Amino acid sequence: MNRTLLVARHEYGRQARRRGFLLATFGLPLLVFAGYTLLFLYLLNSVRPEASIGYVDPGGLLTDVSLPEPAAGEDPWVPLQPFADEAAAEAARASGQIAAYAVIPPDYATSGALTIYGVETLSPNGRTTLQAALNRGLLAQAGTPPAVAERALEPLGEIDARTPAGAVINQLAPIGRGIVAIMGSLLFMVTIFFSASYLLQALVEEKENRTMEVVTTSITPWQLIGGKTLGLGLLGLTIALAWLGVVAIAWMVGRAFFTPLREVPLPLDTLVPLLFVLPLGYLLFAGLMVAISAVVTTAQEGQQFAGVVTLTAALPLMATAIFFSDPNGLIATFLSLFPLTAPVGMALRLVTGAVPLWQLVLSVLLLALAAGLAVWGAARIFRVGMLQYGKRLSLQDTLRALRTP
Amino acid sequence: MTDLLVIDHVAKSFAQTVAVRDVSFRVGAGEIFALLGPNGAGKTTTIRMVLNIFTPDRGTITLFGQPPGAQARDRIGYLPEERGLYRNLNLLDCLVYLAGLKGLPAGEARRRLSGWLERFDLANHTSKKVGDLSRGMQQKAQFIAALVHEPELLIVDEPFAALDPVNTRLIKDVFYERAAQGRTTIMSTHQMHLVEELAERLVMIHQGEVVLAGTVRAVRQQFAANAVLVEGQGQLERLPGVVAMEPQGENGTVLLRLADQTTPQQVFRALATQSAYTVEHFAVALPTLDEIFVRVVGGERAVEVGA
Repeated sequence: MNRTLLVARHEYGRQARRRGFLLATFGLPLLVFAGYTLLFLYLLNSVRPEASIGYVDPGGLLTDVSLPEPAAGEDPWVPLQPFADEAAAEAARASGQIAAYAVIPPDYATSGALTIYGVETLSPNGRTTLQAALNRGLLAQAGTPPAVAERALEPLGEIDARTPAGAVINQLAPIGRGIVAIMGSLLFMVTIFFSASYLLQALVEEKENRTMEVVTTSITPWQLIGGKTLGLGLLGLTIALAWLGVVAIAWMVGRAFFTPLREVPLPLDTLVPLLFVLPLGYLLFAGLMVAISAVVTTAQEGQQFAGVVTLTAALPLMATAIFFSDPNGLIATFLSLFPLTAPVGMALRLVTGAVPLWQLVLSVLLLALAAGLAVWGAARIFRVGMLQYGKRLSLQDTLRALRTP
Repeated sequence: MTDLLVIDHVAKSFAQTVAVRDVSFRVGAGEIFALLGPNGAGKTTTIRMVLNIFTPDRGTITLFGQPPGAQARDRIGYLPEERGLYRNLNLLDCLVYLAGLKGLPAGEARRRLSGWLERFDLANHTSKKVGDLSRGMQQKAQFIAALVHEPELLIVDEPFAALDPVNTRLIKDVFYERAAQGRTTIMSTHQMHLVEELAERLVMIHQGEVVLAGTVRAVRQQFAANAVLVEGQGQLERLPGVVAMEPQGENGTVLLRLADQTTPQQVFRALATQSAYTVEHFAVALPTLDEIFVRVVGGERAVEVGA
């Protein structure tokens, strides 16, 4: 077997058997999934609509009100049941006939005062039903013609959003873009940073285990680094795919239960250019991790250095709001061009705004240049630092290593 | 004897530090060769240049008839001074992987390893994590890793450290077997009695330069005082040309220091004429390599030094 592939297979297998990997790959998303499921079940039970709501309406506000049939896909209205007085309503509530009842005073139109008995708060559906009935009652009392009343009740219901060129815009598209932007950049970060972090750990372990000297007399440093980079890159991809799988399942479950989600379009095609950015971004961070591994003496020390790099790379995610509010502004543009932040920055911009082609090309070129420089420098530093057991490479040594051909 | 390794006026510095100033020696095929020197003498740097980990600043190295490079990797086995195995892997997986890096397919590696593990009494520990093995076991495991691909050249740095006499014997047997098969072993060690026992030739490096080289016997002779060791029964009378007689221990051995012009043969003939003394053992008194090592590090040089 090709020895680079042998190293890759060895690293993948070795790391994949570790508990930390299994926890990161399956444990964490399953934990999040389980948490959301529990929350969902709790909310589903806690906001279960009332079987029926009673009302006492001495002013006759709701006398002639009838609610229209709910639109397709919307939840049905909660039945409203009139009572002559509070005693009758209370008796019905006590017997379980109704879950709660509202007392609407005659001066409700001017005072707005209304009392609910029987529950701390109405379910969202119960609240919507009572609100719709009161709206219609108030409009009818004011003598508003029915057609106008319907318009007043939902004045923006028929918006036709279009681009300046006249193309129809799906109003749920921003939600879809937001989901794709956040999930895309998160998965991107997971792939790159998990892989780079594993790579750092694996190389420092070679030093800690004192295996570097034996290994580098069997294969070239390039085969060692190349094999580890490949194997651990695939490991990061495995984690990202596992997470993506959990997110996809969560999304499908969500769509099955929440009708509005079915209307949200996911512009996954906007992430296609990232296929070029992903390997370059990984190469850049892999190069940095190789260089760090050659300089430090322990994995713990390496993680401290790596933390600074990771934090820089995650800056765009911390500034997500800027990408949504001004995707082509100075900050968003800079973060999508600067190589360290470009992988995540460009992912966010591609989804939240229209990126000019020249910026996309420039970003990829800068990233490629930086990745090349990182790999070149890493190879030189690694060559000097790989056998420095228990001794950190000084800044002077590092600079000298970079200058030495 | 064919030269397997030729090191010719090699030098290597790191920043301002000179690690190897000027080193030259040759190692023949099938030899057990000793590379000696005090700590920091430049032995490890020399070995690393042979292994192509470092490139010499000056001089040339010829290994298997070519400069060191990728083509030589699978023909070399190496046990470095800084021992190291993958502590979190089980022993067998670790050794199969290291053998794979030397080009052995996994199946063949397992087949060969089963014999070696059995021989080194590690067969019952193959599923244990390397980190859980004793220091001696790890040392044996690393020794196996260095020779499972049957290298033509084995370079071992302190191969007997942490080993008991039984395991030391095992390693020595492997060296003898390899030599019988025409395979070369270069060993770097501070255990001079083992060098005397195993090595045919040696080179000693001190402060980055070769200070001693040749066959073990020749080196000992170069440092020998003009003296003989005699063991026998009876009363030893004064002998002509002998300036001092020094009893050595309790077993009746006597060191006879000879005058400058007296040869051991003359003394032997004179001894034969003494009817009151029966010679049981007669030998030219040679210093141990241990003594020579200390003397050389202390600044003394042999009369002749030849590679």
